[in-house]
Amino acid sequence: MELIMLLEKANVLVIDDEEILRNSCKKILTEEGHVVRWAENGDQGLEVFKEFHPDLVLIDLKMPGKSGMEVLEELESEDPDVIKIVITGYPTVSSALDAMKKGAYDFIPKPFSPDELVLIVTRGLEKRRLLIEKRALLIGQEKIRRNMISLVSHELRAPIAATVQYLEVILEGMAGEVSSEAEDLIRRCDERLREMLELINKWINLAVFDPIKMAEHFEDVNLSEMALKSMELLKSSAAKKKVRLSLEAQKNVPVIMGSKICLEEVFNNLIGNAIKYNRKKGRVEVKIYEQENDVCFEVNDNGIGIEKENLPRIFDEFYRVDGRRNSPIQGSGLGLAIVKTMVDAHGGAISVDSRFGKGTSFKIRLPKVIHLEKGS
Amino acid sequence: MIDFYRPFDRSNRTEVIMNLKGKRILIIDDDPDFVRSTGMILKSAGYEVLEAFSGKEGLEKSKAENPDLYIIDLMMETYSEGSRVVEALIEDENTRDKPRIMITSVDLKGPWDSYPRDEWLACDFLLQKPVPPAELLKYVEKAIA
Repeated sequence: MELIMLLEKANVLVIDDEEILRNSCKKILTEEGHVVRWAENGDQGLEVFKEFHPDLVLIDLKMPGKSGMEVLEELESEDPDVIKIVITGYPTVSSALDAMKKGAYDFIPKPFSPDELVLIVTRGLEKRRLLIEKRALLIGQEKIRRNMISLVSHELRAPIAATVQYLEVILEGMAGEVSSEAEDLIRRCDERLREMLELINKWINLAVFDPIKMAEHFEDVNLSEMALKSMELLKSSAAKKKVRLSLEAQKNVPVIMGSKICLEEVFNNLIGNAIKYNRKKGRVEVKIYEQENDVCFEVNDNGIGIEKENLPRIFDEFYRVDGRRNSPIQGSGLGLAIVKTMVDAHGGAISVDSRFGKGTSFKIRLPKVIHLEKGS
Repeated sequence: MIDFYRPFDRSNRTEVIMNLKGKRILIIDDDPDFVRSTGMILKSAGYEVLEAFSGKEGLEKSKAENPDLYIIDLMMETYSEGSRVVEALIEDENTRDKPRIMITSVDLKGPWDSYPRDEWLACDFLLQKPVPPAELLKYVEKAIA
């Protein structure tokens, strides 16, 4: 209802070099209740278009300066949902057809009567209304999908969370004395269930990940700072395994455009893995340097390495090289899938080199920010 | 543990409560298991525990019992019932300044989650289930003090 109301009083832009035609269009359409503005050439038309946000544009195909066809193409790339109608002289019906291929909704041949103009504009606005409704529907569907996932995530997490909380109450002795063996078993239950919660979180986050939404939060990111932060976070787990962490960062390395929160995930996963799949007293070296148009980030370890036949699958969801239940190293099998998704979403690339028993090296390339000089 | 400080000014509260024991805490959660385990944790520290299993019951109990702190589940029968409860508590001048803790099973750490966080901001703390007992007590103490 609101949409229909909106378009009964629509914004219409007329781009035409003939003053008489502009004035008569304005008079006729204003009487119909629309807000009409005009421009006398293509460049002016584009300017007005940007601030006026018209629902419909009438474009004369034959104008001095920028041609109607060029204007049409530019408007189409600005907003394909705005209705464009071309005004054409009788001898150029073929160019009107051309225009329709380039995104015009309809054409109106000169000379035209007020009734003809009103009819074509009304039809165009009806189309506009349908386009707006369709878009609103799509946005609504996406919202429902995301809410659905968030709801499912909640339903999956809630019973596990309730169980874990009971276990922790028991472990604290709040439900009476617990034998030391029972305590040990309950602690294991607690750990396993917390791992499962973590798995659900990761999987859901991967499922709802939306690169476009992420790109809305892009900012300048200094990778050296990010690496330091991540190493600080993982310091204690490295110390536990007596793994030595080191950072070699090129000075004044250029910033990249990215989402800090997502890149944090990348750094934590790669450095975390390098620690986790290492040997006691092993090494993890992080390197950051500029290479051509990219900033590179390397994580090298001299840990257990990955067998050649397993390498192609390590970025797959739920793939674990050591998938045994009793594997000494536990993981979700999602870490590298998340890393790959994030790197791809930043327009970057990831590669891996590994020698079984010797160590692994991950390298990420992210495009650096190029500041365009004025005039270039 | 993620928490958000309430953006409200509490500096006008001059009274510092040294003895927290005997303070009355209302738990509003539609999951009886949570109400039970959370209750056990709070009682172990000497708090008095009141229970409500829906937003509506919570607001009724709030009027009748006038508790010192609220622990509210976000998603109950409806998607953001907990937020509605908070709104009602803020509207009522008798409860507006009472400390509130929101607890939820929604994953709060996910960098890409789409849940509107503003809805939670009207609480002193936002905690994620399961809350380890010691953590819960720490936040309760912070909120009441």
